[in-house]
Amino acid sequence: MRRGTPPAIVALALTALAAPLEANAQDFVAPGPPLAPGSPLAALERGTMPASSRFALASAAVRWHGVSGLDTRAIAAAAGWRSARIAAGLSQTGDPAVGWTAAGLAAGVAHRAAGAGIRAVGRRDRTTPFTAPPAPDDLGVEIGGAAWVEAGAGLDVWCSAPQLWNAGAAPPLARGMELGLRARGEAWSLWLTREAARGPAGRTGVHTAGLALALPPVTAWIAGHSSPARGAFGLSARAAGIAVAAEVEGHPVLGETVRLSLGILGQ
Amino acid sequence: MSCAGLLVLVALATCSPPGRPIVAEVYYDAIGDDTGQEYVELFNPTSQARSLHGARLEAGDGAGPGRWTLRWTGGPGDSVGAGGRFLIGGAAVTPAPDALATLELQNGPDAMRLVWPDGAIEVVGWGAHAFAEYACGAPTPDVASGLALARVPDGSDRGGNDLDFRPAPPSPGRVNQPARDAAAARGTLDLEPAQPSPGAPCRLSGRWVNRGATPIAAGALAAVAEAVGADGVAIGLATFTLDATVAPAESVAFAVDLAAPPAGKWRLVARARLAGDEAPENDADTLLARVGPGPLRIVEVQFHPAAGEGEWIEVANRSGVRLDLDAFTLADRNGDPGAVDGGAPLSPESLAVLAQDPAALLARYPGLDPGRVRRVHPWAALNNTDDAEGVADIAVLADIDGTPCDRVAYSAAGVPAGVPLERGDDGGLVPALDPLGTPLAPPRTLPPLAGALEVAPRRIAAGADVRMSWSLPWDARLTLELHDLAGRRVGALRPEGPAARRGEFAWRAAGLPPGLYLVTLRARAADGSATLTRTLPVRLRGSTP
Repeated sequence: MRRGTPPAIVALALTALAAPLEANAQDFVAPGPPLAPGSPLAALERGTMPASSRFALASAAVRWHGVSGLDTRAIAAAAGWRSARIAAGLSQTGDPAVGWTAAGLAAGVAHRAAGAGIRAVGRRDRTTPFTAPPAPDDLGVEIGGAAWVEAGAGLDVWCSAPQLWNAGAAPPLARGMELGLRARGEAWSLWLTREAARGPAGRTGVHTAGLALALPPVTAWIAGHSSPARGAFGLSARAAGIAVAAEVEGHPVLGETVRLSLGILGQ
Repeated sequence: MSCAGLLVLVALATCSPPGRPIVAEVYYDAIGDDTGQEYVELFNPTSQARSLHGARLEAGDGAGPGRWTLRWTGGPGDSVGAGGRFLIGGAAVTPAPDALATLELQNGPDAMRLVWPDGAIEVVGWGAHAFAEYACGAPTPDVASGLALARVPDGSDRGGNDLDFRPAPPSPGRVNQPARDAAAARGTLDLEPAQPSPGAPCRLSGRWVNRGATPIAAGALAAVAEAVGADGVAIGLATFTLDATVAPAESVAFAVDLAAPPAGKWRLVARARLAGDEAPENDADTLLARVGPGPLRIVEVQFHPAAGEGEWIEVANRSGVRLDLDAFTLADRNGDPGAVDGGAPLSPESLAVLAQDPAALLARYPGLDPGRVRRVHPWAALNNTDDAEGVADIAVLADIDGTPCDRVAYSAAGVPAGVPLERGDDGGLVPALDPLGTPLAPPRTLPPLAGALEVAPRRIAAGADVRMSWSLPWDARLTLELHDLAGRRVGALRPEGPAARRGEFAWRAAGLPPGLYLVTLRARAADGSATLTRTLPVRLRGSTP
């Protein structure tokens, strides 16, 4: 974070514990606009290394589409030294019948105007007790990466490919490469993303547009997604280094997806 | 123009010789055997009696020129009083004719003529004639069996048979068009619903026709509706008045809401009441109706057979007594009733299959009891496509006399190919749980569910079968959809279609990449009053390609 940063940018930074707002995240997703400066969850979920080198600890919980047997619980930590960044976390999703446990690790470099990193997530299905040896079919790993850069004054672009390489059990959700553009001002930010289609033939990419407004210590945002058309609304707040965020996303058929996060940002 | 010239023109423009009786009605085609039933009615519109002595009635064969044959000649005692009628006809005519004669009139093109001793002739022709001698002006069209050619009004003489005569119910010896006559339009009486429950509200509708020569004022026409049981005892259902003015030859619809009589077979009668009605014999229309359930119930319908077994409908005997199936008919919404082959009576609580092709059905289901598989002929092909109201067709079971026995409508939308429909809990038809159907067997039943939706197993390999079970508070239109974890719709597993409250659907998880998917049940009550959505996750195992 730059010294003397305007209050609006500081306000945006209050979402530091929030991961990028994205429809197709899974293990370490958390509420908030994209390119949060110090988010360990974003680093694990997408590979976008935070601009801040400060220590951060975050936890998140997600209820997917209102399905009670499909909750995600995640905890992650991130730290940096000079330009180096590293993050690690654990996550568990769903009941044993369908769920899995994930461990994530991300590393990269970043400074105030650019960042790049790789992330790896290993999963183990919850078919057997954690103390028992896993069945070979229950293990899987995915490796991907991301990079972002401040392309101009108040203009950021990024690219994330979270599943460049997979091995073992397939991930619960096939995720495509995402391109994003963010414009930001004193008390606002506006972003557009497009994620390429992956999975069954005939699928289309997902487009997202969002707008965040900051009124410290509170930030509010709205976002709209395509395929199918749906909207989300979120709020975050920070005080004394503790940040909370919540977001609700509607769906024309399925129930609402609720994302919550709680985090601590080092001084 | 002189007065004499005007009279000549008027005479040329008429078909009846002036100042003498005229032909008022010709009945040449009785229903069934015509013998003794044909008649010709003469009407004397003048104020003086007229002798018919020497008058000849001749039948004309329109197949060639000059083919006139004498049928009757007036004797010295034959005459028609002023305003009176004289009936010439067979012995079966009621009232008895004034003169008995075998007329042997034929369907058109044919004719009859009345030849007076002074040479005056009146011709009445019907059908399409090639020779002018067989009609005055244009002939009338042929009439259907059971109808007469009647001069309406009785003194009409407008210069052409087609202008003076029209088809009408036979009225020998009586006025053809009374001054005042409210008649039922036969066959228009209808009951909605067709088979109400005892005491349930229903609507009786039909039409009245003003067959009189004068208008019927608003409020002058009343009617009674009653139900007549098998024992002949009548129950009054409603009395009502029509508030519309009905011009001569016009008709007016009526509808009256009433409570259905007790359960059983009834003959519903709607009878017009008009003060001064001169033709009370045409005042009533009747309808055979059944209140409450009939002795046979439709329990399963195969409208789209996939293996060449032909269409079939399963029925159950719920009468408590043995039933002869040939005492019933089967039809679709628009078809003529098909007769059911006879055989051994069906025992109480037993099932039978009414089949389009029993041999093909038995070949498809070899274990069926041939004695309970009956052919229906002609078979009314059941439709496979819904109309704008979401109904593909209606299976209609009736007593042999036409009394409704059972009827059930169905929708074909969303019904998997070849899967029959079974009666659901609310009486509607829903896809059978067993895709092969259960002819001559009770419907398959399922154990109760703890929730509205169950999916098992929930972790599967590619190509495995998944059983989706639901339990709803109502019969519904139901769809099962698949989404991925991100909420993107992958596809419809079961397109929207009718479903029983308790049902199952088997899905083979093929053609999808491994991952986590969400199975979503969306149901809305058949009457649209409620909706329900449930989602459960399914994990499709597999390695990344």
